[in-house]
Amino acid sequence: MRIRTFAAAVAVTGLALAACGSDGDGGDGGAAGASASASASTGGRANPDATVTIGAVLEPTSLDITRTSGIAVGQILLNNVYEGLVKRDQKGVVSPALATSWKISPDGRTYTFTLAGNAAFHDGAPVRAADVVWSLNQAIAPASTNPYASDLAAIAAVSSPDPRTVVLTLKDRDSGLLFHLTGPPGVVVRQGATGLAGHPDGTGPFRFDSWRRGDSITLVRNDAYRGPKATVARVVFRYLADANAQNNAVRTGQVDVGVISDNDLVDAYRGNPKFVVAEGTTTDKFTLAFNQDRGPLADVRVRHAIRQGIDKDGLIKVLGAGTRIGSPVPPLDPWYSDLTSIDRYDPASARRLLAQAGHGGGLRLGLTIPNIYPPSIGDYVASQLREIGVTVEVRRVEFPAWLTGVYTKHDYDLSIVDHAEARDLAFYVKPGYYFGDRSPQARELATAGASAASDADRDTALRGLARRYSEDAIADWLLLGKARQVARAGVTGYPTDDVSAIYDLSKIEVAKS
Amino acid sequence: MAVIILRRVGLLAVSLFVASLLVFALLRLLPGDTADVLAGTSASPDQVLRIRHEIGADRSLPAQYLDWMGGVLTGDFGVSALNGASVSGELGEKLTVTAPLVGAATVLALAVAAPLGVLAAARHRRTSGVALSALSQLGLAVPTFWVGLMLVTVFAVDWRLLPAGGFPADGWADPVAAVRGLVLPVVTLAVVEAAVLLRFVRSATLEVLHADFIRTARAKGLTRGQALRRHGIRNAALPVVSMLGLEFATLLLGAVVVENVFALPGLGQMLVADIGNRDLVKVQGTVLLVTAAVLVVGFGVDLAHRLLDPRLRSAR
Repeated sequence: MRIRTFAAAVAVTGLALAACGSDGDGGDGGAAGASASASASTGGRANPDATVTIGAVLEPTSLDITRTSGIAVGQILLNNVYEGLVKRDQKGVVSPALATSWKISPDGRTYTFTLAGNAAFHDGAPVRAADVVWSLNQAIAPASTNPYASDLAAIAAVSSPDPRTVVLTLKDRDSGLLFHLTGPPGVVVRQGATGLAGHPDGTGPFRFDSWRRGDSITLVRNDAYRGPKATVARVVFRYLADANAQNNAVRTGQVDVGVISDNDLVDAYRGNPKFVVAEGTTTDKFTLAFNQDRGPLADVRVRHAIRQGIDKDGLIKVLGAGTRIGSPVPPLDPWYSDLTSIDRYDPASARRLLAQAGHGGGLRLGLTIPNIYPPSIGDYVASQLREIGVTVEVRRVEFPAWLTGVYTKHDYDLSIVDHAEARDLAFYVKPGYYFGDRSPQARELATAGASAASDADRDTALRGLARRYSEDAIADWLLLGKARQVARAGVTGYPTDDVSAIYDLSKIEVAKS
Repeated sequence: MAVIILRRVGLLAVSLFVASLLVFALLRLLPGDTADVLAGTSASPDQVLRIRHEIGADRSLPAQYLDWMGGVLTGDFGVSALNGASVSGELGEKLTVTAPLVGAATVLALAVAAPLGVLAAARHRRTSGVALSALSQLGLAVPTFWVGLMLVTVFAVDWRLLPAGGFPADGWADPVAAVRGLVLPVVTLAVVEAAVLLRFVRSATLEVLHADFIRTARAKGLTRGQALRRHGIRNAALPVVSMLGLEFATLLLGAVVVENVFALPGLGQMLVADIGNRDLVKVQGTVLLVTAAVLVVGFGVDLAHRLLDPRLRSAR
């Protein structure tokens, strides 16, 4: 059987693996205005009664977005069913959502949002400031079980001086706050809402209709939406974890848009007028983490040696898609800079470094990798490292075993997972994170980035932080994934970039047949 | 007979109890933790503790087991730790896919294997018998998922006769669509099963063909076919029925593979996903149900034996 490539998929947390890649497009997300969706519309021939079926890989484990980890739930519900005060497009550009405008105080510690006057929940109840206050307070409460509570850690208090105004008071300036408010912890639900796992009730352009577990989730157009109405009547997300099943569903028209990652499978659609192949960038950073807290990897020379011993271009060739990145910053982020020149592929230098570190006679290391990823990744890394005298024992484990063993207990030497979350640079200075930069300098840079008064200052600090991570060799970034979808001709407006975190359906159109 | 049935029911209950203990204990040995899965990679260690408390995973194992069993005895399999959905409700929903799949595959496999197996035995020295035998060997050799992939490629992708996978979202509300969705999976599952059964029916029939009572029947003037039909088949059926009971477990296992190949929202697909998410309450409910099904089928086979073979009815 064909190797299950990228879309193999994880069932669980944020470290998802969706389809992969980037052609290095993307550029400065902060400035790029255009939303990243598949180009041309149907030119006014859209069928307003259409149902669009989208083939997805990762099914959410629960629909309660306020307490479910992993990006699968946000992928379908963010921007579509739920809205926050603000939203972001597929390239990460923040724009108004439930708040029509906002003001940030000069010290950056007070955010004043003005709410849309005509926003309503799907059951018809108007959105009041009290709902916003309640939602955000739930997320930041000391006993919060919202897995993304830490994204909003800067918020000290949420209040509402009048029914159309919400004020966030921050402990410290947080340049990432608006972006974080576009994610799962920022969604607004009704005050006192319960039962969100079975019936999400939001304010977005689509209403939740039904969930057939193990099969599909159906959303229907919210005809009472205050903004531009969605251009299709229904959207069905069909979950097809098996790459062949996904491919067959696309091929036979069971789904209108599907994720096809395998090179050979994608090639079969190219040049076929009935289909369109859409490629986009992602935030899927395949990260080879080094456990600095024990053993030989505490020595920075060993870490550099390993980075220099792995030819990333070769791995991308093996996997068929991806982009080389030299740090955890994908090109979509405003503070991206090309760091691939640090620790270039140089096996001779790698061997020298290992000899200097006292491992000239060889070194044995364990590599833990969840079995949701293609085996070729671990095998490739092991075979490359063998060339420089490092014997790698690959352990393929189930994802939950990785979470408990590597992530929680830090019991590993080397680990590979896909860090799929956007803008996660600050994770790696968190004390107790399973790998990272423990130096005060790194923490200072992260703080400087968060508390920067201007975008330029933020970008400078975070660019410096990313460089530090790379120069300090806290990990090796093997590649950035690429999102590849195949759509039936006549379906347009579907998102193409970063589709695993948010799949914005508001512009999807189906041509009348 | 009544005493025997009662004794068998008692044995069934004890087996189920032991199975529940085993299932519960073995799942706790798996590396990984439901609370870690729920918390993901952004939550703080404090949050993980809170989540573990909320789902009750911080209680002692005996307490968790008794709680679970207490529910099961009253027909309540508990709720999923991940989304709070009722396990009984989900099992019921998934069975509307898996039960017809396994049931139809068994019937189809038997319908093909029984006559062909007898034929293969009756003609075991002729070309047709040898060909049938070779065909069943081939059926045994190919993996289930490969059969599925080939059937999809031909019947769904190339000829567009049947859906490539999936099951109607509204289940059996549209019976035609539901049946169409099950045709290829049933055939896939039945092909391998039929091959196993065919070989078994053949050897059982061959054995009977050489039995004394057939020779006696022939001596009375019956033709070979008549002897086989009147005296042979009933005797050959005995081991085949036993085999069918054992194969039921294999079929359920095959359903896991087939449901994944055909993206069918059934029990097998759910079980794989739930193990991957460490949704232990759901997994143990599913495994217990499947175990119960296999044990009950074994019980049924035992009864069938006694009906088929009068000699066993008085036996203890």
